[in-house]
Amino acid sequence: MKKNLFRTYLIAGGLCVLSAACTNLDETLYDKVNSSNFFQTKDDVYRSFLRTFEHGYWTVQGTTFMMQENTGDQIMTPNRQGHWYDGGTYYRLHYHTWTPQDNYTSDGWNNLYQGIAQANNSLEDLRSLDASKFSMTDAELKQLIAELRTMRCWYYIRLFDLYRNIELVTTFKGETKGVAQATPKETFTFIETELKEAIPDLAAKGDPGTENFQGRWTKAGAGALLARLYLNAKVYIGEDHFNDCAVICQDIINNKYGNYALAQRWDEPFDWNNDKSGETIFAFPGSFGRTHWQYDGGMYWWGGPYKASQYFGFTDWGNMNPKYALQPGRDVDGNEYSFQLGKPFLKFAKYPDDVRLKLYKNLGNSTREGMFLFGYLVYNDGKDTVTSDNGYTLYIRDQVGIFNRQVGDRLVSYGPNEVPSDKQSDMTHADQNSGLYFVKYPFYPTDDAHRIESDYAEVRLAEIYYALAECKFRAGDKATAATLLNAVRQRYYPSGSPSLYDAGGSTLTEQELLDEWGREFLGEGRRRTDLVRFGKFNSGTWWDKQPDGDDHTSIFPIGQNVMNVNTSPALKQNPGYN
Amino acid sequence: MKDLTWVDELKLRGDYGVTGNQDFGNYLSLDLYNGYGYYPLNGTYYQVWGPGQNTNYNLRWEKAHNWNVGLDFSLFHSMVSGSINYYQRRQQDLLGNYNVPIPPNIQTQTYANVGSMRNSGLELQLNVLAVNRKDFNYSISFAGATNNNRFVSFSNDQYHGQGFIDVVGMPAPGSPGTAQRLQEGERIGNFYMWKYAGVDDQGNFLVYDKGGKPIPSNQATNDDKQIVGNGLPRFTASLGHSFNYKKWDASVYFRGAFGYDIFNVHDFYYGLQNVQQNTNVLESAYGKNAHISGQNTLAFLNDYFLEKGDYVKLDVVTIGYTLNSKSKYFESLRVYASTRNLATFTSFKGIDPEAYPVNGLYPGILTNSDGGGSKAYYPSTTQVLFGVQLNF
Repeated sequence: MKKNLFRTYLIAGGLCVLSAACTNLDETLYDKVNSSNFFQTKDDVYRSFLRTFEHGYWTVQGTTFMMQENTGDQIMTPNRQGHWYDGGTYYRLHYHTWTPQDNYTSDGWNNLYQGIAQANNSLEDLRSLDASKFSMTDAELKQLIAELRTMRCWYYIRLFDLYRNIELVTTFKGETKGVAQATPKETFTFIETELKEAIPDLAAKGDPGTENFQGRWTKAGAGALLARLYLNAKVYIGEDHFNDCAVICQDIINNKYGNYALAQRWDEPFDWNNDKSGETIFAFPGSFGRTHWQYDGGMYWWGGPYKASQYFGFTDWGNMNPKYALQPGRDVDGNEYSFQLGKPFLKFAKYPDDVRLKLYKNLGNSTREGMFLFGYLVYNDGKDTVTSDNGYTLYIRDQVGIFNRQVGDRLVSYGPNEVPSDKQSDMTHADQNSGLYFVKYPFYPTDDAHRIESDYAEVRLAEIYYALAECKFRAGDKATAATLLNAVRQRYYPSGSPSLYDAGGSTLTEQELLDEWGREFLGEGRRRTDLVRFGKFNSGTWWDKQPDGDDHTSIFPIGQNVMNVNTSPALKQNPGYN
Repeated sequence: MKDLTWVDELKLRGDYGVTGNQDFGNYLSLDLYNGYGYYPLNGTYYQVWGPGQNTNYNLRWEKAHNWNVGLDFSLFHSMVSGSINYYQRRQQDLLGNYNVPIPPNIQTQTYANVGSMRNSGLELQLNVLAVNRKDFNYSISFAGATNNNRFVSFSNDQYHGQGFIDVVGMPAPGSPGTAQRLQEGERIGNFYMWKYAGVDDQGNFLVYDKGGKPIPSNQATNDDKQIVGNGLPRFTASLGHSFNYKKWDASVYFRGAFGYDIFNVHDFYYGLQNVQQNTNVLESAYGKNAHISGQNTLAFLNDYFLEKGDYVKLDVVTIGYTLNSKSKYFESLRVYASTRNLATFTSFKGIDPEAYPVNGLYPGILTNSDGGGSKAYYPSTTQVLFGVQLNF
C-alpha cells in the first residue's frame, strides 16, 4: 500500500510539471491577513480607521517640523563646533538655498501622502462595509467616514501649504498611477468642499458618545481647518477669504460647534492633562508608555542642551540634544540686533511681566513654572550645573558665537559679563552656550506619575482667536483684534498690566501682530506659514539671513525622490527649481 | 592541425543558460495588512492596522542570461597552458525593492521585477613551466580579470523614470548623506559627492559648483555634486612563482587590484582637526590634512578623501626543505616557513586597501550588511608560520 502511495506521488509530481499548477504562482494566506479577510469584528473597523491617525501624529515632528521652523525667524540649528553641521543641511534650510536633492523636500511629500493613502484605503474599506454586520449604526459609520475625510484634509492643507501644486487622490486600492497635479484653485475648492461636507456628519464636543473623544476630529476641528485654509487663501489662490475665515472663527468662539473655553493658566494647553483642557480642539493623544511624538528627537526632545535631562530630573531616555534652539536677539557684544524679525526671546521680554519669561523649573506634583532655559542650569540642590557634552559648564545666552575657551586642559565658558574677542555670529559659528531653549511641553521628572503624558495640541482655541483677530485687523477693526488677542494674553500678565493691548488697539501694528503669532505659537510648527502670509518669508531680514533673491522659495520644490519616480503622469516641478 | 606539433591541446568552448532566483519571501505581491502602533478610541488603545506593502500582482521570475566563450590551451609540451574566457551575464527582471511614487502607492518602495544589470569581463589564466630540469623546476602562474558591471536600466513597463539610486548612506556623526550613485548605463561604484577645490582662509572646504566655479562649502547645494571617481577595479590580477631545487621548494605569490578609487572613510571621520571638539584624531589631521582646519568640515562628503586604491600585495612567501625518511613510520618530512600578507605596496594612505570591497554593489567603500556606509573593518594581520609536515 505504501509503495502505491509513493508511486501516486511520483505520478502526480510528473503531471505537475506538465500542468498549470506549477506555473500558477498564486499564494494562499496562512499566517497573514489582507483586505479581504481583515474585517471580522467592530474592533477591526476601528483598527483600520485609526491607522492614519496614528501615522498623522508621527508627521507633526521631524521633516515637516524642520521645514516649517528651521526656515523661519525663530528657531535655528547652527553648527555647534562640529555638532549639527550635517553637511550643511540646516544652513540650506536657514538660508533658503534648498534644492530638490535635499531629502526633506521628498520626505515631506511622501510622509503626508502616506497618511492620505491610509485614509483613502480605510475610506474605501469602511464605505463598503455593512454597519449592521459589525454591530454599528449607520450614523456611527458615517461619522468615522467624516473623520477620515477631515484627517485627509489635514494632510492636504499641509501639502498645499508646502508644495502648492499637488495631486488630489481619493482612491487607493488597485491604483497604479498617480494623477496630474491640480491647480491651486482646484485644491482649495476640494479641501473646502470636503470639510464642509464632513462637518454635518462629525460629532460636536459634548454630543453623546464624545465623553472619551481624545484624538478625534469634531465639527470644531474641521471648522478650524477651514479657518486655516481661508486665512491663507490669498497666498494659496490669490483670493481674499478673510471674511469666510472670520465667520467660521466666530462660530467656533460662539460655541456653535461645541463648548470650548480658553485656558486660564498659561501652561494648561500643554500640560499632562491637556486632553481635558477646554482650549483643546484637536490633539494627538500622548502617553509615556505609548506614543508621544512631540517629545521625540524630531521635535522637543532635541530642543535642549545635552545634559538638560538631568536638570529636569528626567532620566528615562538619556541625553537630550541641542538641535533646536532660539535664534539670538543680541550680537556677541550683547547689543540687540536692529532687524525687526526674529529675536524671539526679546519679543517675549518686550513685555517683562510675562509669566512665561521665567526659567523653566519643575515644582513637583506635575507642576512647573517658566518656559525658557537660560543662564546656568543648576540642579541637585545647587550642587550641579548643566555642562556641555564635553565638560564646560553652560552659561546659555541669547547670543550665538564661541563662548568657551581652553584654560589649561579644561574648556571653560565665558561668564555673564565676559565678552569674547571673536565676534563672529552665524550659522557656522556656535557653541553649546549659544541660543536659548524653550520648553512648552513639560519634562516632569522620572518619578512623576504624569511625565511625558501631554497630548500634542494640534488645534487649540487660541488659534481661532488669533485668526479672527487677524481678520479683524486686516478689516481695519483694531479694537476687536486687540480684545480677541487680550482674551488669550490675559493669562500671561497680571490683571490690568500695561502689557495687554489698549482697548483701541492703537499699538497693534502688522509687525506686532506677527510678533504675537510668534509668541503664542512659538515652536508649534507653523512659523513659515505665518511669515509667508505676512509677506516676510522671502523679503525679511533676521539673524544671519538676508532677503532672498526672489520668492520662489515660499513653496518647496518637489523632491528628487518624488520627481524621479513620477513619470506617468510626470509631475511639473515648482517654479524656480529647475 | 596535425602538423602543429607545438600544440598539445586546444579547446574552444561556449555555453549559455538562463537561471532564476528564489531567494525572497512569501506574499510579496499581495495587499497584506500589518499591525502598527497604538491609538486610543473611546478610552481603549487599539493597535492600528493598514496596508503593509505596495501590491504587485505582476511579480514574476527573475532571469539571468549567461553566456561565455573560452579557449583552453596547452602548448609546447605542456610548457604553456591556460585559458582565456569572456563572459557576459545579463540579469533581467531583477527582483528588488524599487522606488515608486506616493501616491498612488502607500510605501516608497515596491517589490518588483525592474532592473537589468550586465556584468561582463575577460579572464585570462596562464601557467608557464619556465624551467623543467631534473633538479630545478620553476613555474609561473598568472591570472587576471577585467570586470565591467553596469546597471542597464531601472525601469520596466510599469516602473520607470528613475535613472539612478543614491546609495551608501554614511553614518553619524553628522548626516553626511550618500556616497555613491547607481545610475543607468553607468559602471557600478560611482562616487557621487562634491568635488574638492581647496580651502578658504578659515580652512573650510571649497568645492566646485556645477558650473566648475569654486564656492565655499556652506554654499554648496546638492545640485553641485558630481561623479568624482569609481570604486570598481578595472583589473585584478595575481602572479605566482614556484621553485623546486633538489629538496628545496619555494613559492612567492603576488596579487593586486588596479584602476579604481577608495573612499578613505577613516580620514573622513577622524582625519580633520575640527571634526568634533575634543575628540581624538588621526595624525593626518595635523599632517597632510592640516590645511583643512575650519569649523565647518565635519561630515562634508567630497572627493578630497577619495584616493587611488591600486595596490600590489606580496601575500604568500614559502620556503621548505624535504627530508626523505629512513624511518618505517613515515615516508618523508618537510620543514617549512610561510607567510601570509607579508607586504602591501600602495599609495593609499588609509588602512589595508584590501579591507575595502572590490566587488558587489558598493565597491571601494566600507559598508555594513544593510548597504549603509560604515567605519568598521576587520584589521588585516601578517602571519608567519613555521611548520613541519610528515607524510605517511
